[in-house]
Amino acid sequence: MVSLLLVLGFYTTKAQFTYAEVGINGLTCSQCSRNVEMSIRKLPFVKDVEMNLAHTEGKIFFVKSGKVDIDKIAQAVRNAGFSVRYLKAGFVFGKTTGSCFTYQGDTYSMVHAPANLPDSAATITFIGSAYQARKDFKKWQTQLGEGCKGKEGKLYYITL
Amino acid sequence: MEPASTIPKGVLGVRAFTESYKEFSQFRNLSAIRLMYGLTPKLTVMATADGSNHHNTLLPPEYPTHNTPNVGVHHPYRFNGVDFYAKYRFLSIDGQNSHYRMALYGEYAYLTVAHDEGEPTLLDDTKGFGAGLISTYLKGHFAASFNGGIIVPSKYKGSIPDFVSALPPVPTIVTYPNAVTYNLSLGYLLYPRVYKNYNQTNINVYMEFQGKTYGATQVKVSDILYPGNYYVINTKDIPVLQAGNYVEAHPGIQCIIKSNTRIDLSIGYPLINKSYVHYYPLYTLGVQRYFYSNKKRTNSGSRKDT
Repeated sequence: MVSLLLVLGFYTTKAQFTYAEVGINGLTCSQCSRNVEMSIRKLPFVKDVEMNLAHTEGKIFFVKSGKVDIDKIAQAVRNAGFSVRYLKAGFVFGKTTGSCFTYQGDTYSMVHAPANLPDSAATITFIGSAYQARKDFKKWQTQLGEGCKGKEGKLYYITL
Repeated sequence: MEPASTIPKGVLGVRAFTESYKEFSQFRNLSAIRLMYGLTPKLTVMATADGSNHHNTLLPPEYPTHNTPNVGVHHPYRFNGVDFYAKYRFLSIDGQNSHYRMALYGEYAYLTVAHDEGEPTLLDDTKGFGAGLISTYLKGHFAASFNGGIIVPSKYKGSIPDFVSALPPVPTIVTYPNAVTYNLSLGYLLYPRVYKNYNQTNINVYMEFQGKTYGATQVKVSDILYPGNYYVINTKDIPVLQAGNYVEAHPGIQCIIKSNTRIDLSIGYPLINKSYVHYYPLYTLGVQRYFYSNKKRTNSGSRKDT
């Protein structure tokens, strides 16, 4: 029983993306939404996509193994001919601490990081011109700071 | 009329369309198949092959002084040629449920038919080049698109059958005029009022205004006594070879079934002057579908709000 609890505890503290939500600009018809869904579905780490046609957004579910590439999700939206309004992800921080951390070979710099990161899954919002509408990114541009020193892989700015 | 939006990268589109009108006792028809491909998110390329019973492979006897235009004459259905088209979207301003796009296009048509009227039209009548600018705005249920371009047709170099059958055909050069095209399309999404899933049939109504302005056509024939020396034929009394301009109205309806198969039907009428290359009403029917290279969609596009 103790061993089982320890095993369960190990899985619940492992950092991982659980899903992503993407808001899409430029969509004016259901065929447009379908084009975006089909483009995102091509990504090898994507298991399923659920589009909300009324609110022009989609929820993306990942396969269990493999690296989730946030840039490729944003590129898939652009490949379909549209632009990203917002990109969020459900993230389990696990044993991650501090405002700078690495995950799957990439560096994440948290803007306005709280004193303690959440123990359970939280929604993180990606900050950048590729992940936000231009007017929204302009509000964040002056708040990014210097990022993380000695970064590994790609550098992502995020916020809770 | 093409919008400024491009086809998604890696997606193949197929479009079949047909245009028909009644010309006295003849029923004229052009039918075409078009392949479209998204090379990049911003660049779409297309190739179209078409056939019609609009033309013969040679100009009519005694052209242009008689039989111009060749009205009500039976022509067998034949392969016309091919048209190549590329569209590059260079501007996108996207909002939630809206977008404004601009694109440039270039076009080349190769045809094997003899066009006996003066108005140049790529794909159907004249070979040559075309280019232009497209601007499209969509917001909510409303769409507007403007397309302005030029047509630079190639000359027709062929021969006219001599009315004396024993004599050889007369070498002829027809220099078609350049043309400026201007088209405005206004559309409105009638149904659905709110998108819920991919299975809802989209019904759009639209009105397209298609216009063209072109110059006069020059016809030169070879001197019988001095072959290779061409002289210009006086065509001032031949209306179809004079400079002209017109605007047509094409009201239409478009249905998109299961967010992929698109069917559109329109009817063309003259609004300002008229075109000499077809009669009215001009019926156009098109069917289009996209083919995606990846695994099939399993959802219906109806995620509930969380």
